[in-house]
Amino acid sequence: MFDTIFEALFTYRPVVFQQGELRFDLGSTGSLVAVGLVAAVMPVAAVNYRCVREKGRVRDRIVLTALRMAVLALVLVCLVRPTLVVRAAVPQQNVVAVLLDDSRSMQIPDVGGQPRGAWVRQQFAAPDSPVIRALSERFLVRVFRFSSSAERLDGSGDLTFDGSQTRLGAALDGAREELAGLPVSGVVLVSDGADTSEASLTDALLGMKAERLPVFTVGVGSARLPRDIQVDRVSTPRAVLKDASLLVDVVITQTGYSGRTVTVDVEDEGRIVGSQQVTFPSDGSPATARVRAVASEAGPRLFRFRVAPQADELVPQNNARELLVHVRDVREPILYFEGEPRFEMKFLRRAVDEDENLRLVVLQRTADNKYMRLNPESPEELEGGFPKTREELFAYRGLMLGSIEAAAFSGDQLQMIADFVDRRGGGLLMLGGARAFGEGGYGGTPVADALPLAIDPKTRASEPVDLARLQVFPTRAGQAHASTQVADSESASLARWRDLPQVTGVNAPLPAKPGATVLLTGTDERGRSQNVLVWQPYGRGKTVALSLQDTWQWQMHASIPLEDQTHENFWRQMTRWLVDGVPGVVEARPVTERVEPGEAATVEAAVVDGTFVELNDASVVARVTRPNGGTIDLPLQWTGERDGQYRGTFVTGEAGTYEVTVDASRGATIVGSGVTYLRAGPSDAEYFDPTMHEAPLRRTAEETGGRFYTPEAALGMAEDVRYAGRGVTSVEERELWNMPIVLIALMGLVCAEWGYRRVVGMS
Amino acid sequence: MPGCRRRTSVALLVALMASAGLAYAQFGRGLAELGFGEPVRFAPAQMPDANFTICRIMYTSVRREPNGGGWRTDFPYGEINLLIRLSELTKTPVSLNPSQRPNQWVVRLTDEELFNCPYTVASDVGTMGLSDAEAERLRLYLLKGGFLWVDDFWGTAAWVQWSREISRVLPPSEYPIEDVPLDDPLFSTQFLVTKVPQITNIQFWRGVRGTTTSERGPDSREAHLRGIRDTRGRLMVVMTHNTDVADSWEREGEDPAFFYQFSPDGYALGINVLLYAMTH
Repeated sequence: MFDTIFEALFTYRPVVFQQGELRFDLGSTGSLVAVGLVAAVMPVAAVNYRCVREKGRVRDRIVLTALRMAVLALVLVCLVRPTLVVRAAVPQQNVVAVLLDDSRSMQIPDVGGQPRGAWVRQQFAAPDSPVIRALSERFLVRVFRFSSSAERLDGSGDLTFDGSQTRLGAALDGAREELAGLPVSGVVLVSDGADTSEASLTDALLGMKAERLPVFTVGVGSARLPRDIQVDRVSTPRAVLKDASLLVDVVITQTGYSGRTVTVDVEDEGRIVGSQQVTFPSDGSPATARVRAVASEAGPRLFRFRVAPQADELVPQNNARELLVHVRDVREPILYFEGEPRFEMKFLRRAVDEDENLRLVVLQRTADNKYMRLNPESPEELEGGFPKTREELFAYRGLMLGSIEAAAFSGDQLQMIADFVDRRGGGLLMLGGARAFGEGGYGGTPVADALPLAIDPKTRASEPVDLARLQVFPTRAGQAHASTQVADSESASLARWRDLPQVTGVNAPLPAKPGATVLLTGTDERGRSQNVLVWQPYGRGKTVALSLQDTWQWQMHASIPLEDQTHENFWRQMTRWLVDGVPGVVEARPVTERVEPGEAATVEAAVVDGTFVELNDASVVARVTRPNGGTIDLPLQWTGERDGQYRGTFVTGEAGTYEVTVDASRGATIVGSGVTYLRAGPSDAEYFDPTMHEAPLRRTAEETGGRFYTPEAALGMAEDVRYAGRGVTSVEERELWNMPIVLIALMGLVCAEWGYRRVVGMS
Repeated sequence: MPGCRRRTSVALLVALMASAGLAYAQFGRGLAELGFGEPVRFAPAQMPDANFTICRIMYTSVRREPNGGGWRTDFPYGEINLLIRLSELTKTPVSLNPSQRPNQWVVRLTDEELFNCPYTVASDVGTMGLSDAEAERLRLYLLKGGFLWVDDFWGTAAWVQWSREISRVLPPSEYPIEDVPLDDPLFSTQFLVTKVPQITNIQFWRGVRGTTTSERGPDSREAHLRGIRDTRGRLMVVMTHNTDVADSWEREGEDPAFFYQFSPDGYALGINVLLYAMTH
């Protein structure tokens, strides 16, 4: 619309004025005579108004004089024949590349009810379309299609709109290379702008700017879909223990469905393992569904988080997200050091005992220098009591300290415990008890530094003085935390916490450290509240403080039915959380969890020794098992970017899941191994954020000297490309005196003078 | 192994003798002076603390056994002395009353307070008769994680009575009674116990001048330690038949000869069972 009006008033398109150089004809005699005449008339006109002083005020005479001077000035400008000198592409001497987005997102039907691709096919792929005809009249047109890369388009039938990626930068680079050496006037990029690659556009734009190639972009699609639901974000860990109870936040965005209630399903390889209903807030506001699911099948599992498509939804494909989760069927070793025989250990052990993926090894001090070992893997395990070397301690993934005083450890052992969390990345849990926390003399020790509760360094070991009977309840953070879910739903969990019997603590209440998160608080019989379950990240690991001493009441109390699993679930979740995400000596991971079939995939591995010091001189080999069972050995090289970091790349083939087992050794010594998985398969990223993305298209145009168009304005593009000034050009003159806007201005000024005089009574 | 056992027993004996002096100083009187007449203290709705304590099951006797006192047999000083020794010989925090004496409680199977006591004992169970409600409650208690040690019942008749009652609680088809082998962890949690000691009550011992330890003659010649395990193989009921282990604790201070003959073995087994109950 703007372009049409502009062109009607100014005869030419804006690009002519942007590019053109303004010149005047001051050399001809006629022009000089005309200028002289007008110049002579102007003082006369001024004097004329001055002489009629008795008929008007000074201000009116000034206005009228100015209007008349403007008329004369405009005439004067026209008399010197203003001309724009522009460089215009010589017809049929230049090439214009037209890049058409051939990705899946072009199937979205939001251009006047038809798919984006259909509009592109009509406007840019058909030889008789107005845009192509206009371009073809002026240029040699080369049409490309692109998704992940660009290639020549022979006919409109080649457009499939089935590309699984949109890579704007790669498309521009590809076209630039294809046209190298040819006189190119510009590049026309027709796309919805939804770049699904992780690469930056900047490099591609630098290349275009270096060759002074303007890019004219056409944004296809709607900036806001009227009806769409999208599973926006899902956060799950990359690896979980088998039978892990996942509490996954699924963020859903939507337009057009405010107030509607939908069900979010979690599927494990097609089997529904969790569901949660969610009601949408106002349009545009995201909704979060907290879905519970159990990872009961081991191995690489493709979890699908899905909202059923609605009947009138425009893009049903973005209602689901898939994530590959490595469900590990291993037994994670946890060391529990208990300083005094007590029922808390017995019931905790019983709760965890049936979990096949946890190996709770208990070192129970029964008397001075006398220990009982429960569940050791070998006769040698913990034979000498609490580990005295880092290698021995760091073999565990979690460490629980019961009612055991700090003085039971040497100074180095206390530092080892802190290092276990900080450097090894393990999980440390301290339980309440007469010999724990401040009462256990931990003030001022490295363990106190690691704990999430602040113990005054001046605190000395002491006998506990008070027994607090506490009703425990989760905080807001606790209500949302996986470790404190004691029932099947959040509301049921809250109700269960309210019903649980009181438990006791003997440790003086401690404040949480800044940055720590309080998950459970306890209220005593006088209404005083204290922190009960607090955690914080510390270094690479995490520390947890649970200041209770008899959670076994949640199992034994008369009010608890025999079949109740609250106590068992609480401790299984707590111990599983403690070891969740704790790294091994070889941690392998793909740089991207999914690649296109046939694309290169990069694998990284972090390698440390038994004391968790990074190794840069290890021999690291990844064995890649393809979906068809074939294997390749891929040596990984130290990156040099980070200690202990190794990297290697291999080319995927068929679609499917690739298993990557990374083995690290040092000479004849085996350091360890780690397993990860990645997928090769078509991406559905094209359907996410499916609106037309104007920003990258506009940026591309502006940075390269081109212009951004909406579909309606695209018809005038050929003329703009013509005057872009690139390729083989000729100089053309465009006279301006005969523009309609000049006549309109002239008449307007004259009418304004006449009207003003009428108003002030001077006519 | 015999050498090991000898060392263990000597160590325990020395520790017991040393701690007896401490106990005298601590509690103001010798343990031997303690006797019957203590009021029954029922388990409260809220235990005073979370430290270790023993609850004695109060039950109804449906028959009589010679020298038996029903549920009160060996009460209360059997458990009081055992708790004292437990606190001395291990790191176990024992629940103490304001006079610094161990708390021990009595509880009926139908009391809700039963579930505040993860460890219970019962004596002279050859006379025990359980109502249906009591049997059901005991079953619930045991399956939730409670522990019961029954002691001081002698001969076939007592065994038949007890085994019939406990079978109503835990059917043998599902929870069979078994002889606990000597290599079970129960026998080595703290002290190495290599045989089930046969301990008589002190009156019998005095009557026979220590010539025999079988209170029922040939019918009780051999002491047994039997148990019932849960589905994960953990002992939840321990039964010492044809022996009166608790008398070696209760009467430890009455006669040095009785002490030397029975108390080291009695305490070794007693503390082992307590530690097992707290760890398994």
